[in-house]
Amino acid sequence: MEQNCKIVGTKMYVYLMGEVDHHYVKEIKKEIDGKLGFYIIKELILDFTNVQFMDSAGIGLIMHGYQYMKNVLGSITCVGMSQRIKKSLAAAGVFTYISEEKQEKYQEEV
Amino acid sequence: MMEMMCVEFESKSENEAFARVVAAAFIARLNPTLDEVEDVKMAISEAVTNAIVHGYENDPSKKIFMRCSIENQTCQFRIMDQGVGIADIERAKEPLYSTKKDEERAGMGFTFMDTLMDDLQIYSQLGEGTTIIMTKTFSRG
Repeated sequence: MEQNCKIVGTKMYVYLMGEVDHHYVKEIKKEIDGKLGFYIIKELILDFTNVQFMDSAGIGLIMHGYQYMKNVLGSITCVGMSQRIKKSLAAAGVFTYISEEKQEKYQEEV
Repeated sequence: MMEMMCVEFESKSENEAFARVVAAAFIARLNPTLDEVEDVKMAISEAVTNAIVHGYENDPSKKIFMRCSIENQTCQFRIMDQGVGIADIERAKEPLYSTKKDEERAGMGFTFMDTLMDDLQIYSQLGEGTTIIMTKTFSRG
C-alpha cells in the first residue's frame, strides 16, 4: 500500500488523498492505527491538501484521531482544508476541539 | 417532461464513489454549479454509506437501488435498500446520533442530507428496508 503516513520524532503526518469517504477511511484507519500503536506519537497532523471530496466519514476519522490523541495527552491538527471541508467540519462542530493551523507554518516544519 | 434513470449495485463500499459519480453525471444536463454538484455528491454518498453500513450491516451480497428523476429544474434522488430498517427515524436524524458509536462515526449523515438538499424524506420499516427520497432544485437553466 502507498505510504500515507510520515513520522518525524513524536509527530505523525497523515497525507489524505483523493476522495475521503467511508471506503477510503476504512483503509487509512488501519494504517494510522497500526502506526499509532507502534510509535510514540504526541502530535497527529492530518493534511487535507490533496482531498477532492469528503463526507461525514472524514469527520469520523478526525474524531477517531482526536479520541486517540486525547487518551495519550497529545494533540491533533488539521491543515490544508478547502472552504468546502471547513464548512462541513463547522456544521459538525468539530472545530470546538480540533486546532486548524495555517498551512505556511506547517510547511516550514516539513 | 420527466427524465429518469435507475441503477442497481452491490452493497460494497467501493460503490459509494460509483453512486455519487453516476448521480453527478445524471444532473450534469441541468447545468448545475460546482457547489450544487458537490452538495449532491455528498448527500448521495451519505445515503449510500448508510445503506451499506446500517441497512445491510456490511453484507456485500445485498443490492442497493438508486433512482433519479428530473422534472424541469428539480431532481429527485431515491436510494433504496432492503435491509434492517431504522427503528427510530427521529432519533436517527438528530445530529451526532449514531447507533454505531464504537466505530467513531460522525452521526452526521442525515444532517448533511437534510441541509444539502431541499427536501429529505425517510421511509423505513424494520426488517423490510429503507427508502431515502431527496429533492433538490437547481438554479441555472
